Amino acid sequence: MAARYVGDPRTIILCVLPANADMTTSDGLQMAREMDPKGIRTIGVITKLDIMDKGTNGKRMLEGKDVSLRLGFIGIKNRSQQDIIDRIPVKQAIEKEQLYFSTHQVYSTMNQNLLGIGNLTTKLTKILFTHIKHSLPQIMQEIRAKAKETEDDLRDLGPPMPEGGGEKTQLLWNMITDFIQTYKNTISGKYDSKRQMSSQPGKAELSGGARIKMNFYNLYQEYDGFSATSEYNDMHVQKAI
Amino acid sequence: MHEGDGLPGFPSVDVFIYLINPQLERLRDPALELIQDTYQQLEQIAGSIVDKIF
Repeated sequence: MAARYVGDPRTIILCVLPANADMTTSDGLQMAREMDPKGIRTIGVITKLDIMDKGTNGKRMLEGKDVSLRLGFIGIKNRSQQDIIDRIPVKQAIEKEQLYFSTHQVYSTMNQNLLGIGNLTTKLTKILFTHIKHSLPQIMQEIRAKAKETEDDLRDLGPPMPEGGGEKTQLLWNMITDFIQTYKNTISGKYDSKRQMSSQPGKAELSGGARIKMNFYNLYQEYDGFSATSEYNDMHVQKAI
Repeated sequence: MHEGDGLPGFPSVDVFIYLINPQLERLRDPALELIQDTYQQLEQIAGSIVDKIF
């Protein structure tokens, strides 16, 4: 199911990776690389920066030195299980996160735009806006094409069924007249908009009447120049007499 | 086998019919086949128009 969503070229892939695992082996990132090889619609979110092994940090990952993405990475620190048990509200958790990044000896020296839920929100909003701006003309075109197709289908369905008995009879008569007219036009080879509308364009085939005429024309073609008396000789004639 | 009775000394018209009939019989099957084909085509045309209109 994930592959179906990720495969859509209009989907932005939010690839969430834990900082305490090797990102190059992440299934999510691998799938994103497969579906978006240029990395133009993948944004990396690195979580659990606070529970990495002591002495290590996610600076290289965040700066895209391990794996590079056009939309880049953002590092965040979510609420821990203890925070959830303590019912710490999201607002307070964000403040705690900001404090964590601003006081951390490595992250505090980094570009702050790569860190924090606030920056992630801003970045996602910007990406979404740009994405909509790029995709909207195509979506509108698709909607127009779909609307036209549906209108054609609706027109093919014909007029709606009337309520009254008299009107129903009238409709039936009209349909029968239409049938007769179209049938006659098909046989005589006259142009008929109803017939043309539903025939497949580019498909060269003879109309009904012409096909029948051709069959009649081909009848006895094999007997052309055939001599009925060639099989008889004088003996046959003598015998018959 | 056959004896002319129209004109004395000439063979009967039955002789001609006797000889030509097997040849004419050959024309029967293609004609019937054509009628059958035409019937099927007309039915197909009618069917497709009915599908479009009704």
